[in-house]
Amino acid sequence: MDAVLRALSIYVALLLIFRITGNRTLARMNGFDLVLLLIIGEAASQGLIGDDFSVTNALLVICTLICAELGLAYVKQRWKKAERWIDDHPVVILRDGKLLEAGLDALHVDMDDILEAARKSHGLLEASAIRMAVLERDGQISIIPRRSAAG
Amino acid sequence: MGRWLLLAIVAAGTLGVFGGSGPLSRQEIALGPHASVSLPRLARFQSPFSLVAERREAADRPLRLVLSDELVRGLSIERIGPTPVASKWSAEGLELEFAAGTQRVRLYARPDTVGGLEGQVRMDANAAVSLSLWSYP
Repeated sequence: MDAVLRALSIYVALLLIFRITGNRTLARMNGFDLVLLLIIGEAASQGLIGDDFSVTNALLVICTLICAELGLAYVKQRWKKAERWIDDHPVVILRDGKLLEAGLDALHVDMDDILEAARKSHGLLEASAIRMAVLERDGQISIIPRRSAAG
Repeated sequence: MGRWLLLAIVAAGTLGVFGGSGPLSRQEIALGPHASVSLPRLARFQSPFSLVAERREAADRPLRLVLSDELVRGLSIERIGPTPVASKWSAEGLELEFAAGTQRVRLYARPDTVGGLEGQVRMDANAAVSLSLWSYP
């Protein structure tokens, strides 16, 4: 029971923490973020297995985490409100070259991020060439270029 | 089908079928009319567990607990509470003596073997009682 409870509590805690910090947190990782992620993983593993290093405990923790993930997928499939809360939803952050300011700070996105995504995906250099920028649920920014810019 | 199997494994783990805590994980064995020992039925290799020996009668004499040699060899005993006032090895095994008035003794140990672990426990003048536990890898 202890292994199952530990796995479930760590799963729920991580879900809440990453939901609070937002999807952008993991989407834009620099070197330090990667190190931080490794430290989080290490700390979580300590909490998951405690001082029980047996194979049985490890397998039980893995089975519990997979069951929790399957359960969450079922909840998201069954209740759309829960899905919107857990996964968030796509947000239009720029339209016709103009930033939609409302809530951008909370989303941790600025014009530099949008232009970076535009350069990478379509080779666009200016905001005026972008018809729409959308912050997707996975934290990535999708760029829809103007027709003339897209060629 | 696979999902139900996973769910069944987690449910079994919650009940203690794979050791640790849970309603199915522990067993209590009578060591006599007024004494018993409680220990896991199912444990995990090198995972901590407690063995609790209890005397349920008020007695001013010291409490004596004897753990058979084969039982002690299969375990790493990490801590004993309360601390025994005397301990020695005999032909029977490890003999522990606790201060007069001690009602409950708790041993914290880890299985050193995988599979079945058997042995005997005796308290005071009662007859030795066989016990066994299964240690998962």
